[in-house]
Amino acid sequence: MTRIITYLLIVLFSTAPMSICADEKTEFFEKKIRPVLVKHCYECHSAASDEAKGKLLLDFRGGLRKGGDSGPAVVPGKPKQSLILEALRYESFEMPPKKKLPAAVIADFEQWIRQGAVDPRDKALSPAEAAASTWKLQLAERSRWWSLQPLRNVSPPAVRKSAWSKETIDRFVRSALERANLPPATPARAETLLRRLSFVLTGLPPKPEQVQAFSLASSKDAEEALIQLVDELLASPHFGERFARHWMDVVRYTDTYGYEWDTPAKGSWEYRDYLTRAFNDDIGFDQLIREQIAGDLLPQPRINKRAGVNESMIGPMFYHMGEHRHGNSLQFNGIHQEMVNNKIDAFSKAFLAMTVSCARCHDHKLDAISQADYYALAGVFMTPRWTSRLIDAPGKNDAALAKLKRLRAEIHKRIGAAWTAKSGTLMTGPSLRKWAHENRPSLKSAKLGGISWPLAQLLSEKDTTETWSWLTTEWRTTRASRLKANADKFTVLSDFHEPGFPPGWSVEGDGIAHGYVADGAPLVSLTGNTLIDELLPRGYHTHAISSTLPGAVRLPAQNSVPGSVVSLELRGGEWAGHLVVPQNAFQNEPLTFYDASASRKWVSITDVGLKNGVTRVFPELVTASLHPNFPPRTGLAKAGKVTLASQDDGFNKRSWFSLTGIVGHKAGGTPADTLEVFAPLFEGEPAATEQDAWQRIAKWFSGAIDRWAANAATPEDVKLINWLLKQNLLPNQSKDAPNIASLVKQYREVEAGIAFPRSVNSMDERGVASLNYRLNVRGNVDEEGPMIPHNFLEVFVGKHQVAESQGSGRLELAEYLSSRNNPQTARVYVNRVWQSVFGRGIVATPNDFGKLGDQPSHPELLDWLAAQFMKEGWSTKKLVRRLVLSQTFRQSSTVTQAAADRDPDNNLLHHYPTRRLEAEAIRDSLLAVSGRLDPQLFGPPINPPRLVEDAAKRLFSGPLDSNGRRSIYMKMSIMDPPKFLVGFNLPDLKLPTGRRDVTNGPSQALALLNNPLVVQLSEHWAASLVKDGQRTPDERIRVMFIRALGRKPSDKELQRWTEAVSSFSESSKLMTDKAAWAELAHVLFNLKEFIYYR
Amino acid sequence: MNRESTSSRCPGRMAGDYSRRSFLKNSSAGFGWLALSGLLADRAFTAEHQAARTHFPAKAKNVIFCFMDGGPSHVDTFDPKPMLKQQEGKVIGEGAVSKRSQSSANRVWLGSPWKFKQHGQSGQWVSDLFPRLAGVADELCVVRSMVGELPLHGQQNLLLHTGRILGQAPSMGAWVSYGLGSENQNLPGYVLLNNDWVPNGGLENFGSSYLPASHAATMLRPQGVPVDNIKPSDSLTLQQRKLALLAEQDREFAAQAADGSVIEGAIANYETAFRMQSAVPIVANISRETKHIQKLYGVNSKDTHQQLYASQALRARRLVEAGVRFVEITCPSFDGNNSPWDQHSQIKKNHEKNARVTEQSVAALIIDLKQRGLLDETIVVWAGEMGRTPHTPKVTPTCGRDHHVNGYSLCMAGGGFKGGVAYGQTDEFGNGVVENKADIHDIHATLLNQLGVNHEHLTFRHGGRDQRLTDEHGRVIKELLQ
Repeated sequence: MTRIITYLLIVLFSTAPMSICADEKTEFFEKKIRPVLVKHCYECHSAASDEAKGKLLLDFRGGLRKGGDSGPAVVPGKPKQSLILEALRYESFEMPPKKKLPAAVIADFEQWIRQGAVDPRDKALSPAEAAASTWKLQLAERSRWWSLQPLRNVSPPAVRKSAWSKETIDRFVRSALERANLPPATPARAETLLRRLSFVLTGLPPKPEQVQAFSLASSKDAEEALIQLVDELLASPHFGERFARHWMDVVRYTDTYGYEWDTPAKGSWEYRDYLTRAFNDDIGFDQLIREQIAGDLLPQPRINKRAGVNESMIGPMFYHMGEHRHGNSLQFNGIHQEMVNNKIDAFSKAFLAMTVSCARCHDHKLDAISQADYYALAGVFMTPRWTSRLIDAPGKNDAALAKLKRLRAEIHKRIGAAWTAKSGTLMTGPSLRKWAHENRPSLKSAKLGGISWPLAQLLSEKDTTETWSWLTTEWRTTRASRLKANADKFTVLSDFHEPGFPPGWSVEGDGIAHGYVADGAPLVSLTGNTLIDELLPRGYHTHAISSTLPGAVRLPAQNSVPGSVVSLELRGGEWAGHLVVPQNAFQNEPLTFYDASASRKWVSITDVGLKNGVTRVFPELVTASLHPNFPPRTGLAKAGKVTLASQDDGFNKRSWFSLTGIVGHKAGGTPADTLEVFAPLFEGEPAATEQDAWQRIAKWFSGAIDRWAANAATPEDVKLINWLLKQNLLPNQSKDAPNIASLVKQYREVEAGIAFPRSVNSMDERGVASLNYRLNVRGNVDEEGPMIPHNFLEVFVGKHQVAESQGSGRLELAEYLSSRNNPQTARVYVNRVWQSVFGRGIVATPNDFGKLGDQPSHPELLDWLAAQFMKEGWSTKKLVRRLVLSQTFRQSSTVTQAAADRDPDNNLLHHYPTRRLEAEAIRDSLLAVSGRLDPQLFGPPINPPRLVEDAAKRLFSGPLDSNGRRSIYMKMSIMDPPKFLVGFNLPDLKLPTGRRDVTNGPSQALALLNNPLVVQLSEHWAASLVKDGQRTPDERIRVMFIRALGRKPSDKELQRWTEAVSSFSESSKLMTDKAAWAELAHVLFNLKEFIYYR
Repeated sequence: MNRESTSSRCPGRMAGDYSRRSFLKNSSAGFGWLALSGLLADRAFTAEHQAARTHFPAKAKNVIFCFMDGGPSHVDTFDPKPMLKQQEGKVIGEGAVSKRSQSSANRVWLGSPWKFKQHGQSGQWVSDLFPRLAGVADELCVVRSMVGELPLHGQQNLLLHTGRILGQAPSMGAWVSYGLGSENQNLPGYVLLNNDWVPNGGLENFGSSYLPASHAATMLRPQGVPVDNIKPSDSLTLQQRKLALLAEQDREFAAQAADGSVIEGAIANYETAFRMQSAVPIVANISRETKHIQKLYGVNSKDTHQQLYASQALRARRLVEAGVRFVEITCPSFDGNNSPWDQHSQIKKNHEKNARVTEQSVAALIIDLKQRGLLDETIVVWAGEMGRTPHTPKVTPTCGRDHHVNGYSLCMAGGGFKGGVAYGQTDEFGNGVVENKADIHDIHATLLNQLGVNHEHLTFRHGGRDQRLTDEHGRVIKELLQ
């Protein structure tokens, strides 16, 4: 408190120029008048207001004295003439309009005016100054809000009925009930508790064997049985799925990016599986905070050896959920601003239960969040590149790669030896001359630059010496002019004579880490009868060892590299390509994919003009798995004549590219070939005779082969040998060399064992400068205001290092939020868990702990739980266990009349509420009860059943029952989410949802009555029932009740259902009448008791 | 109900109490405050009920919204610009560039491939693209001065439907359903006659957002089973037997449950659902119409797309007759188009195809409603989310027009709108508005006004404030009204 007052004073004294020795009258103004003006008047009557109402400014002395349209607001010493008093008293104007101020405050104003209306605010303020000074005062007041205070050190209250409590939390609950003079409900029956626990912890109904076992165990030792059951359920792999789905609501989980084309959100499902693993392994929530905010930056990432992944790297996929626009802000201003708004909204609601995105256009109306805070945070989230990252555990392929490298070297050696051995017969003047004559038609068109150019010329009828001189001259002059042109126009940034990239370039993936080769590394053939495909020129080839390996080369921001064009010497195939990303709009649509059939060529990427708030444009060269926008919208993935099919989800491509040169330049054009390959031929004396000429050609070739065999090939040698290979002038078939073929076979076997890479859209800020953002005045993207340094919210100033960060500040932000110094995160999270267990949070608005949210029903309990949670390592399972073993949780759902009258909303938890199953739990129950459930965890999403497909938007239909998989594995397409689930309040996939709606409509009745899935599952269940060997209808109905409802039927029910099934049957053999039992199953599925639990 | 905001723009929560009553109010029947009194009574709508629920006497009871998805070109339909032909091929220059248009200075003007003529007694201008609509020119109330926010489909679709370019708000059909309720207890208040595809902006265009879910559009498919799960999986007698067993069992469960009223609500839904099973197919069945009427709409067309659209248009009339408040019809998409009217190229060929598919049925709706005396109380709206650029990168036989929201046209008929008028004006190229600028909020306000609703007072508490279809905007355009 003292701190806040001190702060307030500093603010007061620094925003208004005034004498140091404030006299009493000034002090009166500062204490009694100014705060009222700020709080109640400035919104409409300050320089910062959009338009001062009645042209009246109350934020400086002159404004009050001059007054507005109606005359002076204040006449010093003359209360009667001061219009402001009339207005405050609601005599003429009624100000402030919402509510009259207390009489004491109005009296202060009167006293102040009577005493001369001393007002130190002597200068009119600019709108910015006015906003800042108003904001500082508001912030000081708003930062006193309950949720921003540190956790209190709470001791559990004493209660009269202490025996009731099982867990400490019960004392808080019971104490509140005692104060209200309300009794708790009686304990729930064992079967009710089992069903409740099963849904709360796993989202599935209890299995029949559990029903029997628990009933038996409970009758022996209820306490022990319960503890055992809870531990069993906490250990179930379905616990992770259940709690993952809760968090998926909060982070707006989606498998697609929505908008016009609903393109796939790369790696969403990996994130979904990451959550499931994390909750099953009970990873501390502090760690999950760190991973989701800054998992790519953690000094010690969490490697999951069992799953073979770097879990931490998956976390930042959190940012990428929700809707993404295609295009970029250079085309249409507003695109990146909307995207960052989505991140800020999800981040602040998920971790802080704060609505920071409200402050995009103006300071928050009620909470301690300024507009500057919003843009400070925008800088944090926009600094990194939003791009794909590999999540494979490091070193996954190391052993295989080392083996492949050894094999490649051995193959090189043996082929080298084989070719040199045959060089004497193959590479002779006469044999080449003969070959050239035989291939005359194809050589005839040879142009300058091609290897066959001199050969073709030698075939002409002209004199050999003359031809040779002409060739030499032609070569010399062309070469000289090209050398000069290249030197004049281009700055070589790398020719890869050494491994590595120019400063500021960053790379990713084994394709790059193991992709550098010196001149002449053989590319071993992975299919067919050839030994090698070609020799690789020096540089990076992501497929140098295996085209399964991923690779990315990320260029520094455009406009930061010298020259306005960068040209890259490239080749590639199978959906490798490059993209140019303005301000993280990676769904930008001009995309280039490389055509594998094209030869190596220079590709230019030209700087674009910056506007519309775009400050950075990042080009990336990527293989398919590291392409953040692959597969892009349908029809956009084109390479040569091939278009990616819309059904192709883009997984598991043998994608590759080669990068063999980089130049920078200002004007257009690309470097020309300087014809070095001919140097050995034309340097020295001209050939005297035809024979000599062909001999020279032969030597030209054999020299290349010799050097290659000795591991000393030049770039020119590589060209020559590749040409020879293409002309079939060198033995390269398996049958030519069985001993080499066996090595190639071995190579292929090892290579086939390399798994396809796994990747997610995540973040990468290596080599990236931190970004500050300009405020958008009134949120208008076309009106840029001052630059706001990147930072976290001002209300937490001094507690974290975000502003000091050399990078984005995400790591510092993550550290702060996962530390005990932040009062919000643990509170917000335990409240969410409480909600999932009890149906409603201690704060009923889990995404908003601000003024528009609800206040906690049990504030001390919330603090105690949060503290305990942190003490126990942020363990979700321990927290859940504590809650479900409480007496509070064990209450039945019966309500006394007193409780219904005095606390109808059950704020005090005097019973356990009747809860409807969530959409997923309804569908999963149908699967589980009918016996169709496939309990398999993880994997890519499955298309929901659709009556109509839309290939352009990739809305395809899957099997009616989605192969029996749980609903969490159905594809969540923003444009058309699974209809059955939507009908039961699946949340809007675009938006962070803290608490799901539970609505009730006829369409739900229609779905359960008529949806083919429900009918099919009824039949599926009936089919197994008639085989199960129950002998009487009673017996079978008992089985069905236990399975569907977790309880035995009463005698009355038995009679009722037996009559019903007989009425459904037209057969004399009721027990084998599948149709009749299917009808009965169908009715069970439609029971309210089936979709509600209590 | 979810009490906290789901808006990413200015989130908060739905304020108010959380009593059982409020739960009920927002759940099963999902009535808005306007509709509460009327719908609690289990009986069909009467005129007095509506009067009791509206802010002032309504001119119209229903809306049929013919959504021309993709953006039909204004300068080829309702806004004649001879200057475009005169200046065709000439560079538009920097002055004609706008953020509300896919434009750049080096583009060239493009004349309309269609001729414009004046029609009817009013002399309303309609191009040859729409011969049948020209026949009802005297009923059309054209607005030529529409301005949108961004020339992009997703945003404009959401703006047109929800009044927000980011969506995350209820569709106008949902607002109308919420505000006025349904006239027929067996049918929903907002029906979408979809042509089996999802428009840009997604199904959110037709959603209820923070309004109770029952106000979201119920979709009627053009072929096969009209509504999801509407076809009974059982014979009538079997289903009744099942429902009887269900009712007995459910009532016992409700009696035991602490929050029995919620369960009661769910039970009541089975009764409504049961009735909907027979009501919906009847109203969707156009074979009950005479051959003459079917022909008027074009149901007999050889073009399958036109057949679909005509059937849906005819269903629209049947639905409003049956008391559905707001019916929307989308256009069929063909050739894998992103959206039907989006002709960046081949505008001649494909605008003609779109016109062939839709305009006869829209004209038929107006004629049919009029001869039944229903046009006075039904507003027919014809609107896309945008217009198209009066310019193009290069004039070629296959060229097209791009996105344009800086002045475009839409029109209304019936429901107290003036016929045969054209309101507002664009410049001589159709490139910007020079007179009586109007936006979607104004259209929303005006439509609600005709339904007897003050757009400033039709509100729902959400995100800490009273939300409206028209947000902070909207002006009733009195000049359009009789």
